[in-house]
Amino acid sequence: MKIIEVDKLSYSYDGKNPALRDISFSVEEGKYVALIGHNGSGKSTLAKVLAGLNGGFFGSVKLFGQDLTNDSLFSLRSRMGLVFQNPDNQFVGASVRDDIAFGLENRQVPSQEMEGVINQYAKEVGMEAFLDSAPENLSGGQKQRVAIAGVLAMKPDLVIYDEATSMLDPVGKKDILDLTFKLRQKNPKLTVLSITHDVEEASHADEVLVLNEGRLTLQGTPKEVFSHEKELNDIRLGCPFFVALVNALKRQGIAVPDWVSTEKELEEFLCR
Amino acid sequence: MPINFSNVFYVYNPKSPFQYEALRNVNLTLDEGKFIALVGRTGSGKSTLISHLNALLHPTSGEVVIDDFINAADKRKRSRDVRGLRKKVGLVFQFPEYQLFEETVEKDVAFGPKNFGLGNQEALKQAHEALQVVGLDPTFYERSPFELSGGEKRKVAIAGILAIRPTVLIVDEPTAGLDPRAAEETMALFQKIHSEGTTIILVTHDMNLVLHYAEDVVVMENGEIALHCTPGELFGRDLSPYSLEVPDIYRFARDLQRFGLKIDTSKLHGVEDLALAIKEAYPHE
Amino acid sequence: MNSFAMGRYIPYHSFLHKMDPRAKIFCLIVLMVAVFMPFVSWQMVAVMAGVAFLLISGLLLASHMSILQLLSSLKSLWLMIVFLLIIYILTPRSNHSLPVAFVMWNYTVYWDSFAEAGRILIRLMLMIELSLILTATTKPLDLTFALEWYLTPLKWIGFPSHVVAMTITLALRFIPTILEDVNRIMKAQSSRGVDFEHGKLGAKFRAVISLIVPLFVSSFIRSDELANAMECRGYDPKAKRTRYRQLHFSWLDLLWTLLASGIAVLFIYVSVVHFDGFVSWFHLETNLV
Repeated sequence: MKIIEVDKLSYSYDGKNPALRDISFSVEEGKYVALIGHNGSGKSTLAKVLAGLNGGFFGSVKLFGQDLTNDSLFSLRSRMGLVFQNPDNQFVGASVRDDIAFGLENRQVPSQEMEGVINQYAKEVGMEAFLDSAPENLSGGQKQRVAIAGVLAMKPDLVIYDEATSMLDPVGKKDILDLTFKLRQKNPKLTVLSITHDVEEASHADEVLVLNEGRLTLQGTPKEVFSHEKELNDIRLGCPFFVALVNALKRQGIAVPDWVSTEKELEEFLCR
Repeated sequence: MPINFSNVFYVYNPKSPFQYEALRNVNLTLDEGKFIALVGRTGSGKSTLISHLNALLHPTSGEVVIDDFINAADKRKRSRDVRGLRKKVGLVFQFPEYQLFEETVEKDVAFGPKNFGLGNQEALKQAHEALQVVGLDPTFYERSPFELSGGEKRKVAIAGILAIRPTVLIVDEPTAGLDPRAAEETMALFQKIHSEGTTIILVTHDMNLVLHYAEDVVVMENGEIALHCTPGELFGRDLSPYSLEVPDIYRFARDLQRFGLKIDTSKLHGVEDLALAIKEAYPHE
Repeated sequence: MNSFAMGRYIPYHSFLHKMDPRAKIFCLIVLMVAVFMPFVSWQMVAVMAGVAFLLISGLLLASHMSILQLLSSLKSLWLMIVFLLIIYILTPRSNHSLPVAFVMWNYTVYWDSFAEAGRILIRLMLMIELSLILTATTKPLDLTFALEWYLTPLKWIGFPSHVVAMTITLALRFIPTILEDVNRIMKAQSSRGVDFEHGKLGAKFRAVISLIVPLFVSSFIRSDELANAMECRGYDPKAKRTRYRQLHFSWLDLLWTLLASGIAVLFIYVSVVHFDGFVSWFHLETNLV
């Protein structure tokens, strides 16, 4: 089932300068898709359109098979969760508990049930020891984990990361990526769309979409997309280390065969 | 301009339940004109350390000497000309965009020079020069800083410190939140400034930057100076106690070395170097 | 921020801390009314003041507030009391029930003036102490919940009490974050040569601008992003929401509510009935020796 279906989407903030031009793509259930692009390429705009925060777009956007409109917004939002870039600006509660509860309160979950749900999802993201901590005492990575817990508590089918790791230090980034991996293993039907400019992260996705100047320029598996080294450099993105190394080796006359698609395999190939 | 830390301790909130020792017995000498990287996990004391370099903080005990300014714990020993110090030591914080406040870009960049005594015309002149260095053309001068994109705002903020013409430039995570190309441009900018004689102190988590740009590395752990060496020496060691990531290039090279391939890791600065080293070590048909 | 002790919540396990904030607010108001009751003679004032003082001191002890905090909260009163005293001395009442205190430079000073000033002092002291007891034993968030509960009936006339409560709750959550912002901006601007402590008025003004403008901008950005996040999480200010944190009114709360009401009723009775304990109980004359 196609979780996200976007067809000829165009959007402009001021009516004159298009931020998104004619974008078409779809995301299948259970996939981990990375949407990459330089800052200003329109990726956040696209995230906001999918979240229903930017209305008045041209073209069609279907989530879970339903058209995204003002009327369908409330019910569609209950099936997806968004994790934003700034860990502080999405932390509503005075403590971790209260923040996870926020989403539950909005959905009118009965108060007796809330305690159990909060404990369960805090545990899932590894924050059970911090349930009564205030946000000012938490690191960026910890706050993002709480945001994910809050999202998961609503049992969504789709999770969208809008540059969720951009403001984190390497430890925080790894935290979130490991957690996402674990969640997807636990729930293979969970679809994740990660909007980022981190090409290393994107190299671990099932599919990569490349946005440039509001247009979708490349699409495919990481291997396919990152083989366009020159194009990616031109649009200010660059390649993951592995791809850059393979290309550099090719330039040195070492032909790397096609079956090599991870660092380990490359090491094996070089040391045989 | 010599920079020297002697037996420096710094304690936050002394004599309170929130007391925290951020710097312990720091002894450190930083050479003039070098490109120095300051690394360590979050909470190791890096921000506290650099705050001593322009007298935002005073040591709880010990003293820091920056050129002729003595930043001592003892108030009587402490130098008074803080303004003079801040003119020589420029500090660009993480996400510096939030310091922008003036009506126009050029006014904001000229704010620093004016605070240090320059007249309006002189300050604007230095502001224009700084804006040129960061790559913002005159069409930006009269625009409001708040209507610029994130990357442009950052350039304005950096120009705001460059306009002061410091001899030591400290930058805290300058590439945070930037896309790969913008990060590259920013680092190239610092490299250029460095080549003109400025001492650069780069605080970062990104070991790839350290590998690529730094001549000297200071590693902090738990408020202490754990290591002070060259990048080459650093990456030859086990970095896990300091929670530092080994740069991809080194990681891969060391894996190959373990398999028996003889890779010379002394001169690896980029992917091309690594490929070349592999070719040389690998008898290829 | 640690020096700003007045009005701060002090974590402890007293019965006051455990009480329902709604009951505490009710008791506070009711006891304040009691404190402001007028009494028929100065002796009665003294007696009632004594009772009130004992009661409130007991509560203060229970709340575990430090003596230092107490004294600092009263510091601001002294100047005002001296000022009032001077006014009362200069404008004595015509019907003084208390004798002359002393004569200074041909001017008669009556004990009445001291009594008047004293009464105001006692009332203000007790009022401040009652408020401090409330804020020291109740978390700001709980106060907000109680306030929201009291304002709920206003919903029927269109007052958005739940939205107001959410706004206050968010403001409380963001105070530490915004303080961090202030700190960061000050450090950044100091590094650009701004002196926040010394300098002429003009320079200080510019210094403040370089702090306020970025603070406003970042706060607006925060609220924008926060609003988006809240919307995406299903928040609708007009819709019905369930509540995670529940307030529980227990027998202890009922007890104290009745007690406080009882005390207030007593004070009101003594005041309205012009009860003068001294005359009827001790058969004393109203003249002091």
